[in-house]
Amino acid sequence: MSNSTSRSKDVLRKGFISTTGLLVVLILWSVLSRNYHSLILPSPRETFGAMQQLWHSGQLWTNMFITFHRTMVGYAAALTFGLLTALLLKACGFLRSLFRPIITVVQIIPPVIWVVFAVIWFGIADDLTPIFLIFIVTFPVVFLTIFSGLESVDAELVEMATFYRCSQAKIIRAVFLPTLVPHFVSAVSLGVSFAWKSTIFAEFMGSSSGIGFAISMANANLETEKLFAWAIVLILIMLVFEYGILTFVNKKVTRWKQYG
Amino acid sequence: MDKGTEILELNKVQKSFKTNDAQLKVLDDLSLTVQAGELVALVGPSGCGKTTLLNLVAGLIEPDQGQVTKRANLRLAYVFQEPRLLPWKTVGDNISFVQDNFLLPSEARGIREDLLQKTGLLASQDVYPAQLSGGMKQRLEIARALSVQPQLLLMDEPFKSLDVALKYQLQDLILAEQAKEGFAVLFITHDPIEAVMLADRVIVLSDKPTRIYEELFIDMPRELRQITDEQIYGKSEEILDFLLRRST
Repeated sequence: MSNSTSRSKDVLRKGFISTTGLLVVLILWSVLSRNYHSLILPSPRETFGAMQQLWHSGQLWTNMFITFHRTMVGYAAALTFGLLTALLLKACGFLRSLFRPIITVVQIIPPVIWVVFAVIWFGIADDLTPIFLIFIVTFPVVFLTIFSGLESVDAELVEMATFYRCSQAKIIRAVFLPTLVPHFVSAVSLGVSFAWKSTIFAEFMGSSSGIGFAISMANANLETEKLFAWAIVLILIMLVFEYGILTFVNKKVTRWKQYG
Repeated sequence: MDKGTEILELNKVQKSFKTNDAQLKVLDDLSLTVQAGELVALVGPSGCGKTTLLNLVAGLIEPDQGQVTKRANLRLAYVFQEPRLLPWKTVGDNISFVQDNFLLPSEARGIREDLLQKTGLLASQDVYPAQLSGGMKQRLEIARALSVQPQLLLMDEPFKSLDVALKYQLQDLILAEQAKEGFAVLFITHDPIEAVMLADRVIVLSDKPTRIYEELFIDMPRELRQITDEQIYGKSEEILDFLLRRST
C-alpha cells in the first residue's frame, strides 16, 4: 500500500517536472517571439490561430487523411515484407548470404537519394512516390528488428520443448512467438516513426497533396505560423501513437518481463 | 514395469564433437544398462562428457557409432543443469505445458498441485519465473520433470548450488516419489557422498574419451545408509581417491 502510494507520488513528481520543462519552453518561445518578426518566429498565439484556421478550413483533416492513408499502405507493405523476409532468411542460409548485404546497402542509402529516384520513376502526381519511400526506408528497420528477434530464440528452450514431445506447432506458438512479440512490437513502433517521417519528407519533396505538401506550400508562401502549426500537429500525432498506443501494447504483451 | 527389466541400453557408443581444428572424441566405446526402478549415479572428472552421455540417452543428440536402445514408449523426464523455464508462462503453466503432451487434463491437475505442494510452490503457481529465486526455479524444474510421471528420470547435477537444507529436502522428495512410482533415475553428480547415499549403483567415468572406470554397487537399503557406515564411507573414499588422482 505505502509502496504504491510512493510510486504514484513518484509519477506525480516526474509529471510535474516534465510539465514545468514544457512550460519553460513555451514561455521562452513567447518571450523570444516578441523580439522577432512573425515571419521568422511566430508567437504561440499566432501559431494557435493558424492551427484553428487549418482546422476550420478542413485542410487539417484532408491532408491528415491523405498522409495517414499513404503511411498505412507503405507501412503495412514494409511490415509484411519485412516479417516474411526475416522468416525466409532465417530459414534458408543460402538466401541469407545472398540478401543480407543487399538489405544493408538499401538501409545505408539516405532517404534523400531514394526520394529523388522516386520522383524520377513515379512522378509527383499520385501516391506512389511517398509510398515507395516509406516502404524502402521502413523495410530494413522492420527486417533487422525481427531478424534479431529470431536470432534471440533460446535454443535450450526449443530443445527442452522437443524433449518433452511438444509438436512443432506448439513450439512455434509457445517458444518462438512469445520471443518474437517484443521484437515485433519494437519493429512496429520504430517502423511507424520512420514511415511517418518518410511520408512527410516524400510529400515535401515530390507530391501535390498531404501534410508534407502543405508544409512545402506554407514554406513557399512565407506562412511561418502555418509551418509551426503543422509541426505541432505532427508532434501531437507521434506522441499519441508512441505513448498512447505502443507503450500500452508493449506493457500488455510483456507483462512477464516487468519482474526481471 | 517389473523391477529388474532392462529399460535402457547403451551399446559401444561413440561420440565426437568438432572443435576449431580437431575432432574431439568425448565418448569412446561406452556401454551401460539401466534397469527399471534403479537409481544410477554418474560420477567423473569435470568435463568428461557426462552431460553428453545424458543428452544421448535423452535423444537430444545421436551417437556417431553404437546404439542407444530404450524400451518402447519409455517416458523420460530431464532435470537440466540450468532450469529451462519459459519466462512468459507462470509456474503452473510451465508444468502443464509439458504435462499436456502426456496426460489427460483431469489427471494432470491433481499431480501438478501435489508436486507444487511438495516443492513449496503452490502459493507461487500464478507468478512468472523471473519472480522466483534460484532455488525456487530449481524446485520448479524438478517438479516439472516429475509431473509427467516418467519411467526414467535424467538429472544433470540437480542439487548443484542449492543450500544444504533445500538440497536434502529435494533429495528426500525425489526418493519418496521414486519409492512410490518406481521410476528409474540416471543422474550426474560431482559429490561422491551424494552418489553413495542415493544410488543403487555408481558408475565412475574416466577422462575424455570417456569410458567406464569402475562400477560400484551399493547394496544396502537407502534408509539404513549412514555416512559413518564403513561400507558407505569406504566407497565414497574410493570414488574421491579416483577423482583426486585424475585432477592432479
